[in-house]
Amino acid sequence: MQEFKSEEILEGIQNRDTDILDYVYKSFFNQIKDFVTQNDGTEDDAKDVYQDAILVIYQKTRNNNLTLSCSFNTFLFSIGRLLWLKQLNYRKNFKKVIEESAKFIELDEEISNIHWTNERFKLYQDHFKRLSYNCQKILELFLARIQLKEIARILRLKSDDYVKKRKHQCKEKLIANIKGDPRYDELVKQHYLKKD
Amino acid sequence: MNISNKQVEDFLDGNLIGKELSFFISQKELDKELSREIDLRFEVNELIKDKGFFELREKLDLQRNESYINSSVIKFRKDLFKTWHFAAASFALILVVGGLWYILSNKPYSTEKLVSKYYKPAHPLLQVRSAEIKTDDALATAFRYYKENDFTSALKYFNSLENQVTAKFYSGICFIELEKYDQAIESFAAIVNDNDNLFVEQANWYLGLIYLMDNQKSKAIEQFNKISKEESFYSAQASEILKYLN
Repeated sequence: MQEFKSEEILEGIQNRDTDILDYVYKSFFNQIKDFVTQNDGTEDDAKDVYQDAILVIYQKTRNNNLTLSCSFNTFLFSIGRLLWLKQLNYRKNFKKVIEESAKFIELDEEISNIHWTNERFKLYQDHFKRLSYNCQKILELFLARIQLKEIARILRLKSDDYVKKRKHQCKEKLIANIKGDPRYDELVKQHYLKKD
Repeated sequence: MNISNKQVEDFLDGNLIGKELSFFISQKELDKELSREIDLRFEVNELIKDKGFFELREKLDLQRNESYINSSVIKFRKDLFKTWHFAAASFALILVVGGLWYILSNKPYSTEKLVSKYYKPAHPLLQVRSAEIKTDDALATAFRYYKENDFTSALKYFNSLENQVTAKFYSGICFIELEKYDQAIESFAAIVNDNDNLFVEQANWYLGLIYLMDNQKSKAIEQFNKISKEESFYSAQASEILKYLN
């Protein structure tokens, strides 16, 4: 298997490069799995944690130029470890002794904040994907600042007024569906607990 | 909250100016509920704009699904060598491998596998609007049955509204679920022929999948070719399917 440097991996995650993602999974998932399964979790929990850790790294590299002070492996494991400990805490599953299975670094609160933002993004995305194709396209094109007339042409809709009306309907439907999801209250609570 | 959702959207879209904007900002400072509404709508906009997040999640999900398949195979192999049923299992394995060899030598990627990969019944609409209350009731009832996977009952109600495109579309899905492919084709073809509704692309996509389900390979290829050349939400997936079919 081809080896990659930390910088290449970070860039690969940023670019959603399938080869890099496969490499990271094959090389580093097992460490997270060992930690989670040795600490009251299942393999499925480990897979959730792994995915969430990759999403955190994606957002972190996107927000600023990330320079690692440790190996990528240690960084990924440390994020996975932190997310699992938070999960145990959330589940009120306090462990007296945590079985440490690999080297880790202490991470700042920013990682947690990114994770919670990602959780909200996942909720929004789940509902966005359930909108009709036209609704999704209208919102995407509108937010890409495409002119209403052009959106009407692309989607073969009758007028720009109609696009405007549909955009409003689609957005309201999306927001209502998000607010109606049981996960929403919990995520909002988490968000404003920190903010307020 | 004294501010309407529309005003919040106007603010986010940069359409508030002058006094209206000043008033809005002053309210935002005072009203926590309004501030949260703005945060939510702003974040949703950010998410919609972020194609990378969508794509990465999809790739990670795919990776996860592939790992399930791989781990099942590994687990099966471990179990096989552990138990005293080794001989019987070996025989079963020969049958499975033989069967697989037979299937794979005939079809590079079986249509069943393609269908199971790409077919998903359309999500039911949560809100329906129509001119008459009676029609609303029928649609709502149809969707209730549809959500419960009671496609026979759902069909009765969808069929009672056959002039409505929405009902026609979902009746097509019901027919697929009931494996009545000819009728499903009729429903979707009517939507495609109408061509002035929001379901045309989806109907084209389902038509292709029905041809696959019904082993009409040449028609499926023709249909996916058509989709892949259009500016459609499904064009990338149609091209992927074509790779397997060709």
